[in-house]
Amino acid sequence: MGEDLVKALADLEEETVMEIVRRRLEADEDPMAIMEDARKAMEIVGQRFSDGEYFIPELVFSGEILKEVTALIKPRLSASAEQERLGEVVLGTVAGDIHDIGKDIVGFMLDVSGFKVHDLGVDVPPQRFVEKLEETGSPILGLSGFLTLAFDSMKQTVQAVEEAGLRDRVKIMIGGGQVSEEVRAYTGADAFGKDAVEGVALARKFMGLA
Amino acid sequence: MPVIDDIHVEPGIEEIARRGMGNAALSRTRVAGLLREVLEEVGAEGLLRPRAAYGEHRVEGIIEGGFRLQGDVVIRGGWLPDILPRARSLVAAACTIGPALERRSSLYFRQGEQLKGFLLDIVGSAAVDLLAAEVCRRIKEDLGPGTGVSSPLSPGAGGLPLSLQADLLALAGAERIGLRITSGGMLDPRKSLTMLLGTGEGMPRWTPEEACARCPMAAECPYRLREEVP
Repeated sequence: MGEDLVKALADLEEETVMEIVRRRLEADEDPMAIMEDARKAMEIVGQRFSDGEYFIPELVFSGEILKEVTALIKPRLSASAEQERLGEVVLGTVAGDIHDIGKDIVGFMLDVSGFKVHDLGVDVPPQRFVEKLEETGSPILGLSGFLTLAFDSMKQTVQAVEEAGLRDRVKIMIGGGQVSEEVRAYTGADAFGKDAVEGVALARKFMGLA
Repeated sequence: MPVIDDIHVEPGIEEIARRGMGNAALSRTRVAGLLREVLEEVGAEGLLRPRAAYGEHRVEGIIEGGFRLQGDVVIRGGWLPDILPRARSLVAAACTIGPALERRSSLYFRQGEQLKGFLLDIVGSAAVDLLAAEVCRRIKEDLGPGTGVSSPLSPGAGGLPLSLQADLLALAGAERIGLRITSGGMLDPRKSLTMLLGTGEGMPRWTPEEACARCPMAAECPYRLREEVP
């Protein structure tokens, strides 16, 4: 049954997924076991995305199926399990950049993967990121910027986090159309991700889950 | 400097599919149904409001890394003179589908309808590409049958730096179509494009797919044009 769910979700067979989940819940299976199978399926989806077999619509679609699965399971989860999140991420598109689609997809995939996301929107000044990190205590900061012109803003944001004395406890990842290792080094971020799948993998790694 | 506001663009499933949609998504009933729904919404609510502006500027001479145009205007960037060494004039064009579609897409994301929001975004990208192609056709038509016109170059691709964006907007008179540049150098509305075309004899031509394949981001760009169409 577990393998069925993994395969159905990895293959984006929405109706089959929901049917399997309902059956397993009716059979009083541990909801956490169902979630674990869903996580395995999402790993396969991520791999297919990385291999170029799936594209962003497939990735987002898998996230939406996972969201439905979570909604079905939620009433069966214990209060503690329901509240348990893998970690918190402050996310936003840096100052001067108004692109939101990539950032929104990363935020969505982080959310369905178990992270609490504080999305600050677009054109976010460095100080606003610092304030949110202080307010939430989030250990991860995700900076998005689509064009090369955003790299200076990313660097300024990393500097602002340093100046606020938060750098030791906050891991910073950057993402966007043109990021690379050179850009990461220039901005002073800890890591870069080329897409939402890598963003989720980095967040998991920062939390010691990978 | 003409303004064009009578272009109708209507991206079909095929154009959309070529921009970062895999067979797996399209073969799923809900995704395909959602895409049809999104296309209907775009048409019914007039989310595409295409406009374009352009200006032709005579080349006075080639300078290092660029051209000197009439009125002592200088345009520099990338390998411009190498790409268009025989250009008699340069045409700067700007086009946009307006802000309505991207606002709706952002709204869907905020409402938790991510897939719908993303599909709408792809529709917008396809619409801008169709608009740009039609604007190029109109420019060629306006310049007359005897004038050779190059394929379009855009900042951020094909060796033209992004810093050229502001120059092209000014040369195209883009403020007349509500297109502006942000402090960070980005076009607002986002679903917009600027282009530079050379005119004269022996102007180079290439297909959109060839231009896409030469882009440094060709391997991972979600909007890349793919040859195979589901």
